[in-house]
Amino acid sequence: MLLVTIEFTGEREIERLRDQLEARFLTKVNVSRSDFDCRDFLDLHRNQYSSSAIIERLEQHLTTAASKVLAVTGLDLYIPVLTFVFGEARLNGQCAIVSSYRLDSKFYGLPDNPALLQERLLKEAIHELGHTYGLFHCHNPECVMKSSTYVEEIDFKSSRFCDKCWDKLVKC
Amino acid sequence: MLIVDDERSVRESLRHWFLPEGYRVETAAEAVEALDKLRDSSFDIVLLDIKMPGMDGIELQQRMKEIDSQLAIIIMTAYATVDTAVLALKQGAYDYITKPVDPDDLSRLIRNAAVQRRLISENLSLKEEIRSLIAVDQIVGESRQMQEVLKLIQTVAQTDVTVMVQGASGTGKELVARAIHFNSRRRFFPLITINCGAMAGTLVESELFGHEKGAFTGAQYRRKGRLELAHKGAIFFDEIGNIGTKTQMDLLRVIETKRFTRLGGNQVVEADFRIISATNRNLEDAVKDGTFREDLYYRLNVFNIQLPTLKERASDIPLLVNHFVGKFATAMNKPFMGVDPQTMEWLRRQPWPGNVRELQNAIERAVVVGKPPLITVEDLPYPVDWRAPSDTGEVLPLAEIEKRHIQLALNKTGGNVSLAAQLLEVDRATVYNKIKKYCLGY
Repeated sequence: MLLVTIEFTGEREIERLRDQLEARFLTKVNVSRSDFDCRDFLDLHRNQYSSSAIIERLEQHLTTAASKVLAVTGLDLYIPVLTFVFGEARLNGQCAIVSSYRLDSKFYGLPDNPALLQERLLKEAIHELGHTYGLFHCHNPECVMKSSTYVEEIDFKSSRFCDKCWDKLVKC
Repeated sequence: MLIVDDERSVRESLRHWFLPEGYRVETAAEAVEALDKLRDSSFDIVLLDIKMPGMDGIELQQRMKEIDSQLAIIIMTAYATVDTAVLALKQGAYDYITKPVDPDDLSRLIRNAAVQRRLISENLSLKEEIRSLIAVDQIVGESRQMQEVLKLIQTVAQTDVTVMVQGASGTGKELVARAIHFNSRRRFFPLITINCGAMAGTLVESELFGHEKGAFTGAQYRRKGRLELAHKGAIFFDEIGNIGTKTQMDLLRVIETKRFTRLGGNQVVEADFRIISATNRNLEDAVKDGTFREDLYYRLNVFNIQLPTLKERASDIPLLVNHFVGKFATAMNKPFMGVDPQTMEWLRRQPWPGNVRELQNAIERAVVVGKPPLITVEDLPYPVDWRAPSDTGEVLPLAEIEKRHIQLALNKTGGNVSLAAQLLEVDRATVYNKIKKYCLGY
């Protein structure tokens, strides 16, 4: 598995995330920094970055033997119809992306909370990677694969797969 | 789900957004492609961009509805104007969204559209089931009398006219009432049956009009009455001849105004219902002797259907017998083909004072105890002339004695249930229940 940072400044967070993902997916996780020019993905009108375009770029230009690639960015992501997304993934594919932009308490005018940010980042990273392994959204409110459109929903669910999703993941 | 948008990035990002939700997602870049996909495959939801080159979203929506009228179409627009939104909704769009939309709103919208689509198809299949539930042709009878009854049912079903069905006990009055209701335009609304004979006097008002919380001891909650429950449907008063004078007055008022108040309440409730009533009594006689209000009688007896007794349409007995044998054989999974010819002849000759219901009960019993393929006279409940009094000293089952005793009381009182109840020292409801249970004639 490969973690690619795109405009992401949190060195400690990424190292921590790497360790957590290694423990969860029982696989070696490498970290690299991308040299993408992010202006290519910027919508000037919205001042947001297209997650779909970033994933496409990852798929086209990344030469890696890693079975899964997770991009981690500090940019505010969108897809054209939606106001924002926390992340996006190719179902049954190789690439996914998560953004810390709206996971950070500071975005909501709250005091800095690095531990909470780390936990949210882990949940969203596992969630998007779950999609790359073919997992759909889950109705179990505590399962990490439960769809979340607000940070409160991310905070409510756990970072674990429910039994059903875990069984599907193991079969992959 | 079908996503129609000329911008590839929109199509693809939406497709990738909805795939993890477990939807089957297809995309189309233009109107012709969308219509082709719709013709080739079935979709529940369409997300449709309003501004596209060539045919715009509004026009495409119309074409799509021509292919599948139940489609939930959600219009997407970058610049929402009231005019386009109103137009889209007028043309039958489920909803419209302004791009960009909050992810939570979009998820909820799609979930609701999917639920609505499922409910619509469920509703259609249930309506279909109701249509097949009570067809007029399920009333069995080829005799002249029954053919006339069927014609009357078909005529009156199309109207909202108040109907009174008259006939002896067991002739199928309720079946006729159901056939009228389920062939009328009110069929998708309830048919509420009230058995006036079995309703205790003090409870009648509460049953009919409902009550408010605290209206009387034990009224812990507000409860809707039967008249309110029948809103948009029909109400069937079975054994209407047995209601008391106070209820007759209340009913008269309600029939005239279709307005009433719940017990203990002030709020006037309006209900729109059709009235079908049935009686085995000669209500004209009851009007003459003053036990039934004349004005109520004329209100209820707008369209009268008289049902013949089974004896009067004895030519239908073989048809009915075969119908019941088929019905019960299927229900009990027994391979009966019919009844043997001598038994059929015996069945034709019986007087059947309990009419079709009595015949049905006899066949049901025969199917239970008989050995396939044919029912014989030994399988029937009354292989000897059971109506002759037993003076042989034979010990009869208690139920048989009860049945004969109640019949005796009814014969003595000329079929007057109230007098028979006095003679037997039981209440009227008990006598009615026993009449129904034993299919007694009176």
